[in-house]
Amino acid sequence: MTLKLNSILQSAALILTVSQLGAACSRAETELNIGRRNSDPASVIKKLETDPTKIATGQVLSQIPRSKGTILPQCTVSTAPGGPRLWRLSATQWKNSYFALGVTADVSGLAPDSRAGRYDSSPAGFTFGQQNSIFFQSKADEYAPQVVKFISQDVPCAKTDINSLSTKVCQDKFVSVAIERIFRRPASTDEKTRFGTLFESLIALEKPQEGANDLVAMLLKSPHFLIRVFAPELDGSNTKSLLPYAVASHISFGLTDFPPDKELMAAAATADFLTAGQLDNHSRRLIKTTAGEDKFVSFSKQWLRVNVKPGNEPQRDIKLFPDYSAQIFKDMTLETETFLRNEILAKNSSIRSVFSSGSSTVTGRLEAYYKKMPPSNVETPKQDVDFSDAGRFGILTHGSVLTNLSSSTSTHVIHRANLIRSHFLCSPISGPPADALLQDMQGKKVLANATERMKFEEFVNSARADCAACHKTFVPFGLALENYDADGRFRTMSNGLKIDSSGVISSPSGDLVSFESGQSFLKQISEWNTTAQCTLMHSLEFHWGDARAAMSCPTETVGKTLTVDTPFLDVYLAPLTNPQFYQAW
Amino acid sequence: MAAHDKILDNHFKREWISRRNLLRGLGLGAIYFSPLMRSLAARAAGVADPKLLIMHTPNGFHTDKMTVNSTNGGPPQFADSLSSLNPYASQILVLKNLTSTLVSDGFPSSHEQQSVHLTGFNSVRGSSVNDQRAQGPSIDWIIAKALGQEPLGTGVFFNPGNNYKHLWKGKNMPNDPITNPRGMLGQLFPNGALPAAMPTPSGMTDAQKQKRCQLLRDALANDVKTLSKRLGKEDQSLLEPYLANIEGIGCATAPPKLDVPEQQCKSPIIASTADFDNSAKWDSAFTAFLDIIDASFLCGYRNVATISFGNGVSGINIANPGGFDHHHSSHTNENNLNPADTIIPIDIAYAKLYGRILEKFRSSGILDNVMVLWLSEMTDGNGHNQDNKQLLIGGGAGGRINTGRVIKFEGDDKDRCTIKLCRTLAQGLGVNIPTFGDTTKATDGPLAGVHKV
Repeated sequence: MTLKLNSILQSAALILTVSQLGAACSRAETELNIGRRNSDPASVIKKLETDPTKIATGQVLSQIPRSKGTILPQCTVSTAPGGPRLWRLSATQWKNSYFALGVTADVSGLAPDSRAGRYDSSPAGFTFGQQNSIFFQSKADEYAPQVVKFISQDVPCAKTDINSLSTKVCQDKFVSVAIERIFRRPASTDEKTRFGTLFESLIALEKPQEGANDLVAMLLKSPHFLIRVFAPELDGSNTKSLLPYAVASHISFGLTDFPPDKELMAAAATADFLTAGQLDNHSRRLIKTTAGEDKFVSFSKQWLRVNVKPGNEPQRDIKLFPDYSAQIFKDMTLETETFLRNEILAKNSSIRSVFSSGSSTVTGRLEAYYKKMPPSNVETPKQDVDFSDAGRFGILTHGSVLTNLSSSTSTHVIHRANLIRSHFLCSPISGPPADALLQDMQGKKVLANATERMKFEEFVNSARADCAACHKTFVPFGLALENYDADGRFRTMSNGLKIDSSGVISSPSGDLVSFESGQSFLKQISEWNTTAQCTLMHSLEFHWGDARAAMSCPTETVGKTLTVDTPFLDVYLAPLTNPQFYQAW
Repeated sequence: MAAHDKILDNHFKREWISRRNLLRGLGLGAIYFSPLMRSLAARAAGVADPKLLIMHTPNGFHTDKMTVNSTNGGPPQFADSLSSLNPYASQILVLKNLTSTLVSDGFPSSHEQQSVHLTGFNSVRGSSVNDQRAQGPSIDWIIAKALGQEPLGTGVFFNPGNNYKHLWKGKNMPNDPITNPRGMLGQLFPNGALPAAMPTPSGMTDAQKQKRCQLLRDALANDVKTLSKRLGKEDQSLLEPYLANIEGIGCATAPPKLDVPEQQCKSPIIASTADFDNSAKWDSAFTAFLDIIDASFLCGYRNVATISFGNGVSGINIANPGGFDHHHSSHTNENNLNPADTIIPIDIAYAKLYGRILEKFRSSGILDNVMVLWLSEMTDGNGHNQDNKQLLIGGGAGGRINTGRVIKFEGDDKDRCTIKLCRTLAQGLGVNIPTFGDTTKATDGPLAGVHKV
């Protein structure tokens, strides 16, 4: 049921806080001290209308920040997303770039990329420190002879006899081809001159093969190979913009972690490449490749925060969760990956489906685990298992997500609330005020054998007032998922007590919405277009790094209106297919 | 040859050393050869060249059982969780009752304050919950830079994506440790870890070799500079370290004779089967890192190193009692846990690892020349407090500190602040940093009584 928030506010004479996106709770001016537990939302709301002072302690409403009828602040920015003009290749992209040059490169000696941002594609994580510099240089020396052999196949004068490189004509052809292959774009006039002269000087000192090895090693050490450079023109002598090639690289690395293929390079040479139709066509072609599919899954797993490295699976207290194991978590992750590939990507499903599909593909072992049947070791995937009667409703009820957002001994309502707020509603929770101490945030009384809701009530009653007020704005989002235990399984009881996951929240349009269970909560947010817009903001961040400039108005930024019925894939690709992005670069 | 002359003589050997040790001809910049030569020069001159290793373990301790007794100024007697350290008692200095309370006031939890201990400044908050950042570089970075190096940062379980960090290059600039020993080995001992690179073509004269080297170095540097000119300041900064590396390539060809026999500087060996991506096999990563640090100290490649067992609030439980994670186990009061079954075995395990570090340095003959500090982000895991800290320093810093003692600091907080500890570490390596840390939170100078007068 829904009631207009404004009318309630007027009658209840409450003060409404509108928290801006990302605002700290300490900055919240308003607290809505209404809500419900163990009673019908309508009656609670009605009671509010008549006597707001009789609100029962612990009854809360989660207030979603919004502005002018939307969860997002009013759009004032219409520029392309911000971001670096330099973007160092990740370790995977570096390896794949060598693969495209005929070399199977060994990446094991490379220091891991830092995870400076929320997504592993964040350019801030790809530093160019001393250790990486040395690695890149030594590998260039090592692999140069193989690359020379590969490139020579496209240089007719050198293909059959490398000694032909002793002539200036052949040297110049080799330089042009080498730069195009290695830098992923045609050579500028200045580069042809500089590297042509260098090649000539080298060959005066050593044999043609050795000179070619040295030249190519140098190109492989160049920032134009190691870094994606967003510089439309590299020197004033260019008659043709190199921007389309930079765009081709951005799309290709962004969607597959591979450099642009021949088809994309050929398209970049055409006049109409930087149009929405061309960009969209090539993006959809790339996403259908194995590498494209893998990268989509990688983004989605990071978005859902289930990108756990093998060996780092979450641990669980074996006394409390004897059936749980690292293998079960791996099965859960496989379930999520399969869901993303089969249900979302292959079927071109909508955002709504992500949050509402009740079927899944799981191993026999995981099916038995979810359904609390006798343990099974069947690893064969079983398709389209219906879990709707086992409390499953979309990807947020996957065991991988829920387990990863729990501690070793219990669920973690704050982590769960934070994921929903920050990743699906783009209303992240900020940290405690600077003067808050740990004891302020902890309930003074430790409740053993209580439900999380009871603990929260105790917290609200005993914690510092501003801490309690802030927690009331987000904890109910986590409480809505309390029917899913720390081991990812559905439950109805906690510590012998019945779990109540019902509540009231305010929709982005200002309506009060009640829900009776986690399922109805998820169904509710799956109907909000906000989830599509928020997903886009995460896709923007994934594809552009720090895209905060565009995040306040994603629809305007990508030039598309997004709803929950928009295919997830469209949202994923949108940040790459708007030509205005690149023109503004 | 007089000691002074030897130092000067070594100074002029830099270019060849850089080529010899690193990446054959075109690989490595000046950053590496400077410390090596400094160390070799120190040895040749017969002076101490102390090293510093900081071991960080998360979540504080169960302090009731971190027992150190001392009678009549004698060596420390370790008991309970620390009893495994008694074989090294004469080579450990125990510092009691230090504090970081003054430096770290105003934050909700001392996990977030962990940048305080090694930077000497209070943390600042970032954009999100638990995102606490440093106001300046940590002491390992400062000391190493003063020696013309970078610190050798190693991490077991360390996750660069987490916010709880204690090592910093500067304000808001974390200096995350390397988590893959194989990669680090490749950087420090290229001949031991990487396949042979493209050799210099045979049949060239020395002059031709030098010209070829200069051609390639200058062309690459010019390529970077040409691009850099077209960029903004922020993007230029990304290329600066790379350019510095290229410009540091030495092209001299005449190899002078080494003062230190080749066999004294050997690359450690990492088994090809070692799997450093599996956190369950953390011990193999620890062992490999310790081997690399030991060899780096021995060879004189680095003077400052760190081993970080996870970020702050790490859940990784190296002793694995009861299946609880480390952070959960450290809150025995709140979680109604028996310390003997949970947190104490973890403390015991870390004490043994500290002992393994001391044993490693003892067996390689450099224990008297190192300082090994054991640090955690807080004092007690239950209390989340930053006062009454008990810290251990193993090794004699080249004779600069008296070990086998227990010093209990008394008096004003400013006289026993961890800022002064950092100054003490710097002084141990011969680095003078009078302005380190928030000078309003500590009295001037290092800790009293630690160094030999």
